[in-house]
Amino acid sequence: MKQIEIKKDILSAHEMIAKENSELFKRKGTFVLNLMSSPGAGKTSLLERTIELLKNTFSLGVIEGDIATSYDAERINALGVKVVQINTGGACHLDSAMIKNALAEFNTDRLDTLIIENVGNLVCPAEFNLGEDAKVVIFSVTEGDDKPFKYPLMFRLSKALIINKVDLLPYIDCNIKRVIKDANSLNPDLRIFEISCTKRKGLNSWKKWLEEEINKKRNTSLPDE
Amino acid sequence: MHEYSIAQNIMQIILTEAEKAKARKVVKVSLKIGGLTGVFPDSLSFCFDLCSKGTIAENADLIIEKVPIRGYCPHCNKVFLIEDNKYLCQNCGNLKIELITGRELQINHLEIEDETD
Repeated sequence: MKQIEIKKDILSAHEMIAKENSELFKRKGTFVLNLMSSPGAGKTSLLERTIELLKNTFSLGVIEGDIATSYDAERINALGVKVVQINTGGACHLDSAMIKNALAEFNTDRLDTLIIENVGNLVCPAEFNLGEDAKVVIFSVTEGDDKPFKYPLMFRLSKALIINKVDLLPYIDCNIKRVIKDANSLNPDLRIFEISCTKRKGLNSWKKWLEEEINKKRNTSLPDE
Repeated sequence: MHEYSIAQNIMQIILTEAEKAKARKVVKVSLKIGGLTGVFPDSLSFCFDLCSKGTIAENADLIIEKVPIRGYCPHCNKVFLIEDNKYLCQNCGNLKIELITGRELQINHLEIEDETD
């Protein structure tokens, strides 16, 4: 019997590909969002609103992750934006290799922003870096105000939190102050946006933040060798 | 159920390392799993058993060391345990702390049998 030292990160192969993706995005000046939430929180609705806000100013691309179906990709396609559907066939999250493969279908020379919609799940997607600039967690008020503390990693790693469906607040028992307080205690730098995608409310500050981030990334892109 | 993906990644690393070491059999696999990872040890063991079936790591013991979440406060220069989602310095209340441990998903070492056994 012999003991051998390994001391290796289990996801190191994924991390390496995530780094490659991230370096490509840096060279091209492409700002990349990774949208994550539980199923039904409004990722695709946010994506639709975001495309409406940005598509006249920036060139956009979308990667749709779902276990099965291309329903979401069809919704995005209808808005005239290039979309690639990934069906994970059971896996509960996207990983960096899936993104790398999907990138082959985009003209990355002409892409200001790539928005990745992850599989609906508040646990697993947080663990898998894709090479993105910002993880965004979408929480809808119908899910209950205890979610940040139940899924701390997701809230800890995200750059922005979208609180969606705020138009429903009068009808349900959700203490939004608690959500904000708990989320901020997990992550003091978290940017928080209170939005209703269906009523198109609260979208201006989200748009402003995105424009700043996209321009920042574009201005720091590295010239091709 | 990202435990299944994690088990698949563990298997890939094990098989590569076992081949390098000319192992005939992998007897024990020891892992470090951080408290912030959301990995459920029982699920991971279950998935590992599925993934290792028919390989040299079949029936290997999976030893999981759970690593608590620890933070560091740059103001106080102190390291402390984080429990019950209290991500702040236990001394001064500073929220801008660094996480020192808790995100580990690591293979520590393997126990193998080679041709000398």
